[in-house]
Amino acid sequence: MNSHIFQNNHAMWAILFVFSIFPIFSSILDLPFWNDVLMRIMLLGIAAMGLNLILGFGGMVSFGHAAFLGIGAYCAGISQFFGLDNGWLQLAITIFICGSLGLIIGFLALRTTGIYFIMITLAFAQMIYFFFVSLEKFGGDDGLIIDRSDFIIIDLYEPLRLYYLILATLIFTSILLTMIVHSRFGVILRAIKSNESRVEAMGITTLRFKIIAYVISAIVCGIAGCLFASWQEFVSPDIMHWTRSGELMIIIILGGLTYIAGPLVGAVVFLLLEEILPELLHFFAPSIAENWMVIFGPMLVAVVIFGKGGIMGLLSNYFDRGRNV
Amino acid sequence: MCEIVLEISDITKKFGALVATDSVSLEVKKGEIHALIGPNGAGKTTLVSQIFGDLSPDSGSILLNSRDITKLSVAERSNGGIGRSFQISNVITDFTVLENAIVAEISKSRTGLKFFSPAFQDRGLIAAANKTLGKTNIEHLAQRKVADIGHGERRLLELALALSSDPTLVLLDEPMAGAGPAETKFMTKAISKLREKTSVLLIEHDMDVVFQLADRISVLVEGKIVASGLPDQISQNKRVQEAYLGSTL
Repeated sequence: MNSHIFQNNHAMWAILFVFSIFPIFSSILDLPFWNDVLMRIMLLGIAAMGLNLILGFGGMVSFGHAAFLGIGAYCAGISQFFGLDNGWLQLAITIFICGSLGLIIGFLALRTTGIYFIMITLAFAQMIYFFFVSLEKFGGDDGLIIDRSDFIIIDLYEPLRLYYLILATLIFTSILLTMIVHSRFGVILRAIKSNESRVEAMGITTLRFKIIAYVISAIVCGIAGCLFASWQEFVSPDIMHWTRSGELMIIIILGGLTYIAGPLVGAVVFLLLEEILPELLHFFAPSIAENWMVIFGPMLVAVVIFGKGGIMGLLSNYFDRGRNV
Repeated sequence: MCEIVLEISDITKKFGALVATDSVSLEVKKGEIHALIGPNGAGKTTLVSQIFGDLSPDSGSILLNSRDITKLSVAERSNGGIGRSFQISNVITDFTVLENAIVAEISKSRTGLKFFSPAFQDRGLIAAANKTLGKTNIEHLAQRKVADIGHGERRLLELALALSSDPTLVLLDEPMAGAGPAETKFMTKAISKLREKTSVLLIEHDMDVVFQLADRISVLVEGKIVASGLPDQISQNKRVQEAYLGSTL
């Protein structure tokens, strides 16, 4: 009965499939560096998908979600600082802390809407950012060098273990979010995005639904951050700089914010271009290679203007599927 | 028979110096269609917003089925038995007609906190939603996107949504606005049938419709009720005629 909600999601399955077989090619071609790039894509893809639950499906433009990414990373970092290097426990701590913090921030911030909501979420994120900058004990601005977490049965120092742990998390997140978006809860959330006053008039306390969605999205971002720490083997406030929140939003809009696979597609395109574009320019036009963003920026603008609904919107127009989600 | 569903006592609402609702009292009896009329800017929508909970009165009280609802939120009042159609068509435009009714059904059954099984494929929900659409005979529109249906059809959908929770009182804020003659005729019929199931507070500009439908009429002028009574009494009332100077009653 549930299978059809996954069927109309070719882009997501295609990307997950490519991710799962990519290490074979990278080992044949001896390009281990690209495994690293893909892990980064997957991690930010998870975070963007989490953010998109409230942004694309709930209409809540949170400009501070990198904070949860950072908190997840520090949950791993600080746990390890105190000698707790069990990755499962670190994940549990992350879920608890990001969930509680999401509840508090959501409870306060969701009383506002529109531009005020954007500003208040940014303000909370900045508070959290400077809180960690000021924590001298944990490296402050310079951050904290850490080991990869110990996931007991999975030794992350063995080749590809971290890669497949991240991939498994990505697959789990994708399936979970697909189910949530199509569930009764998800339907109400999307209805709130479209017309909150009507939903309220039907007898639904919309604030409650918005807070729950906010908490879920905070937890997903936190999990991405917790794994991010192991990938980077380093945690610093940099991970939750406000520009990262912006980056997550660009990824979502680029990919298509009304599609579950949108943020994932966006992460692939955005982060691959970030890697490839400077190289290409080095080759063809070395004089401007350093300023590759001059090319990158207009490309993003073009996709947003011409492809209403981002890359997924363009794709679904092309294949004439028309239908969202 | 004379059971009172809605009892408004002495409510006042001020916006700065403007008294939008000036100690208004009003009763809606069970099974009656009570029309609220008045010239533009008389404060009809302000009054309805207070009954529904978008605005709260500065003083006075509102009782629904003898229960004080003055302090309750919009959602709580809706669950308490008030259905509403808005002055400006207010439906979920990103959804299809059926999906709109499904949202209403999820709300009615209070199952919004189910996170896993897909809602739009749920047979029980679809059946119940179709039944809701049947209340205004728009089942044939079920698969259409709301953005693509006509204005009058949206009004019918809105009425269906207002009725979905089997409310004890329905507030209809200009249900005919923007509807064509045929739709008006159909809506009039649909509303007149509501007497059997619920009570109606109807706000409407079209006097033909009001006099066809209303069991009782209250006239609001500059925030005050100037007359209240049977349609015949109202049409003969001097003060009402003054308020509607130029328009024939």
